[in-house]
Amino acid sequence: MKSGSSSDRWLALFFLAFSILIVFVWIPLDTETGLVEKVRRKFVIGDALAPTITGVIITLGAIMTWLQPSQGHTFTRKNVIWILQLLAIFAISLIIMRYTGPIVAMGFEGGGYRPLRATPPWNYIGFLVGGTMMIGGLIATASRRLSIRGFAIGFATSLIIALLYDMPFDDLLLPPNGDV
Amino acid sequence: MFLSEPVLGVPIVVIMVFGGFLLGITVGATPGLAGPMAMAISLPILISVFGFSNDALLPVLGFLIGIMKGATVGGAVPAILFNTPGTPDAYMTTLDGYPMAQKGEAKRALRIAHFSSASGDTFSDIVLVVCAPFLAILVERYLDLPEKTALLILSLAFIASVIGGSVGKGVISMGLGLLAAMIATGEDFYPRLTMGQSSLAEGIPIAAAVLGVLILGEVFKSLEDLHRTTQSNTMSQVASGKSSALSRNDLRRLLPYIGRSALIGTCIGALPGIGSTLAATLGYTTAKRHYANAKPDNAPDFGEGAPEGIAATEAANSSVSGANLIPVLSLGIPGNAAAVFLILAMDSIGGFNPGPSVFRLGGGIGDSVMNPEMVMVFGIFTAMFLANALNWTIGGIFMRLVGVMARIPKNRLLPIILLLTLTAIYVQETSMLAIWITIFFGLLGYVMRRVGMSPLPFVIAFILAGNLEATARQAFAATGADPFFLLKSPIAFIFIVLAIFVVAYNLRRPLS
Amino acid sequence: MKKILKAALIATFSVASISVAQADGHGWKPSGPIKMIIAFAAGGGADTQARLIADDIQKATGWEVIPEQVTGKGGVNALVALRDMPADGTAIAMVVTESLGYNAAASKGSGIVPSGFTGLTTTAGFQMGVVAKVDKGWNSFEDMLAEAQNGNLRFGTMSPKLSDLAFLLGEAQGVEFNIVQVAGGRAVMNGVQAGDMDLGFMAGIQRKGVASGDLVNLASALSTPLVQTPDAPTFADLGVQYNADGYFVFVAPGGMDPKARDAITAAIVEATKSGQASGMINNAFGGAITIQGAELDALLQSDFESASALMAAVQ
Repeated sequence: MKSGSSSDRWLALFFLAFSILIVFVWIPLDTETGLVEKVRRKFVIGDALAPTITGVIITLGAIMTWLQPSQGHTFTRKNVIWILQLLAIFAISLIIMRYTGPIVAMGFEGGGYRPLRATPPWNYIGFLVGGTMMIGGLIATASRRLSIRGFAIGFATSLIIALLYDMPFDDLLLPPNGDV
Repeated sequence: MFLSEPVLGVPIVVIMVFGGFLLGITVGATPGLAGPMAMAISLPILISVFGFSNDALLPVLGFLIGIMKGATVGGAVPAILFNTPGTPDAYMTTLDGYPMAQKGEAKRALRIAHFSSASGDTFSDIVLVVCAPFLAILVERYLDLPEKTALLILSLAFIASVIGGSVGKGVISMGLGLLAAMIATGEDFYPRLTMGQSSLAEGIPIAAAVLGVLILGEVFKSLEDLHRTTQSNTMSQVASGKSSALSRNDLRRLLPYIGRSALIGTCIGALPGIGSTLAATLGYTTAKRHYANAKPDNAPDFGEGAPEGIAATEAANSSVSGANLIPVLSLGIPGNAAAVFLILAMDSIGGFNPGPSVFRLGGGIGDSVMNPEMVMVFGIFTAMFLANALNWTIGGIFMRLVGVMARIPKNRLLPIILLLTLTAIYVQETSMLAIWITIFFGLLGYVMRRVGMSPLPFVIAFILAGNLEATARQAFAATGADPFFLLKSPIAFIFIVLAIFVVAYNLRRPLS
Repeated sequence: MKKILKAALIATFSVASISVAQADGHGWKPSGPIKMIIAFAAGGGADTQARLIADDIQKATGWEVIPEQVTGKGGVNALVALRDMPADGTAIAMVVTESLGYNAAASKGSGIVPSGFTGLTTTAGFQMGVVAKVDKGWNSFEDMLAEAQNGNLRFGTMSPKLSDLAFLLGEAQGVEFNIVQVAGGRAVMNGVQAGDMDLGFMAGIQRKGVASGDLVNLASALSTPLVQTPDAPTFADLGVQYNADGYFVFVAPGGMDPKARDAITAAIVEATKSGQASGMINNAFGGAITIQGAELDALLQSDFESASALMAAVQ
């Protein structure tokens, strides 16, 4: 058996296990009404029925994949490392995005960040710094080279996006200003 | 609303179609970007501009339709000039377009691509206008709740088994889409499958799931490809000489190829789930077979710069875009990624529920004279023909201008698209959690691409899941809790049998 | 660099605060933008009403109002989101009285009770009727009933409370309905129009259809007759002791400063009486109804308490 088809069999096993887990553990524990229930003296479809059928569909898909594995696609450790790299970039830049504004505001105003969340330039701080980090970080990772230019592009892009949403529309809140 | 007022005497819808069309050509000409991506990013911005009122629907849809049509035309540009398809469905165009460009006939190749694309597109739109209302009336007259449920099941079975190489993976992809859509929905007051997290109680935002899987997944994958391949591929533009105008003789030679491909593309577009890439492939291979018999002695072969190859490909992939609105408007079922975003727009703005009811005369949503939804549909048709008119008149000129887009480095473009997408989702959902959910689905989309699982069944299942479950519940209740409601009506029974047949048939098909 | 940035920030902030001070002419002003949670799907009549009110308030007072959709579970999701917001007038929500009544009582796990919120004001009531298509050939409730004897008719509803009411209506009249519960009044309308349902509850959306002779109000699900069809019997006439009386209502988190409560309530009431919102409310919901203060508190509490009796009645 070629390596491609054996990795499809692993995929099939994974989804088989996953579907068994959802049908027998997740759905029973996490829905209030059963497959069907009696309401107003009549049977109606309960909230567990559709997810259970979905679980069965995934099981069928897994069985079909097992019986007819295709070739050429493998998921390797390199891919896992790539996901972790991406997650690290997002975690750092989104945390910066969320908290830079409130931290800066603490230094200036007693009222904190919340009342300022729709007031320039406060509402831009987190987005600009976080956005610059995200784009700069991704460009650096993709081209395997840390460059000032990448971060400059990140800053310019974040600024343009921020202005694009904030200038014309009163009702829109930039990240992270709806959370504070 | 001031936004529906004409600007300098030009109705706003015309301006929006025009803007969308230009953006579409530009995006189509940029390798790594595609029409659906531009539609996805524009949608939240458009909604912010035009709001949720009924007046907003036509300008927003006009813009999206403009993008959809522009992108199919634009995709041919880098395919011909640089041997890099701007959109996946333009791959076949490189086979003959680039050899023509190397021979100094780039402008002529672009003209052929434009002419074929515009012809295929117009043909497809005419079929849409003629067929959609009839199909809708048939559905409305003959399909009751159980039959509607069965029809949705058939569509999903079809999509899952036809898209991508593997039926099994297509079915898994569809199952995951259904599962994601079921989180926190349902009829009971307890939000099911949320594991007690109140932050999930509103469910997965549709934009987060759809954009995550479709756009972020693609961005993550492309960035990794760039990360792995360090060398940058250099592109050289080819010189253009020779006269480029198409003679009447040229047209007479090309028209049979365009006609055949337009027919193939339209049929494929009308079936949910089969995209323009397959249409292009089929159009090209059919044309190749005919060409082998009919070729003049000294003409170039397919693959060596035959104008017929370009014509067949472009007519086929462009004629998908009109026909794929047939299932959208008459059944509310999206057939491909572009249609997904049109449905998303209709859903977010409200006041228009795609499905058979839009073609009902009179009554409709509360109005006495004319069903406002039907008026809207004909507005959409008008916008489509407007885009065609633009395509015929100025499309060719713009195609020649956007060749430079292929030079933008992907490693900078993709992160920018990523931030734009995340911001667009945030302004709609105003929650950092929505961004994390989007990233989660982005990673899911990435993994799906890596294991050879098409993300499109996921997206379409996610969109249809709510409708499917609701219709099934209603059918069950309406038939007085009959557990066999799907099998008792002959039409529903046929649909179910067809659904099983489609999956079984594709399972036996040799793997591509 | 840092100093310049700091100076720039302070300069901008002081300009901004001056402009805020100028806009303020009332005794109370919010400490920042007001988040207005809307419990209804975007684009519908209720959503439009809320957004117009937000617009009117902003114009009249200069307060910044930012609408935000939190839909699902009959308004319970919106109330859960609102509950944890500050009670300083920077967060309000538009729901229906049923959200704090039946739906809150039915979703015990969510912990929503009327006393946990500050009621501001109602804006408009529902004209809840039992509606059918004229094509059916029914001119009155009796005509429909005659056909219901022959076989189970499909009765469209849009919430569990209304499903209960439909059930009780059938029970009181000695017939059985197949109750088809869908999401929202528009879905009932579409279902009735498409023939998927024989009759259904509509809360005002039927007005134009009834006026044009396309639809007919068979009964009023309210304690009072319908404005449009005063001859149709009420639920009390038909032997059902519960009714679907209900209103759109603005609420804030519990324990709100009375000053803020009065100021925001006044601003909303003003919007329903003048401005764009008033025109829309007159058109779509038959005019503004603004129940406030102690009267509103009592209304919400009694709706909540009577819900369990209704739930028990259908067991």
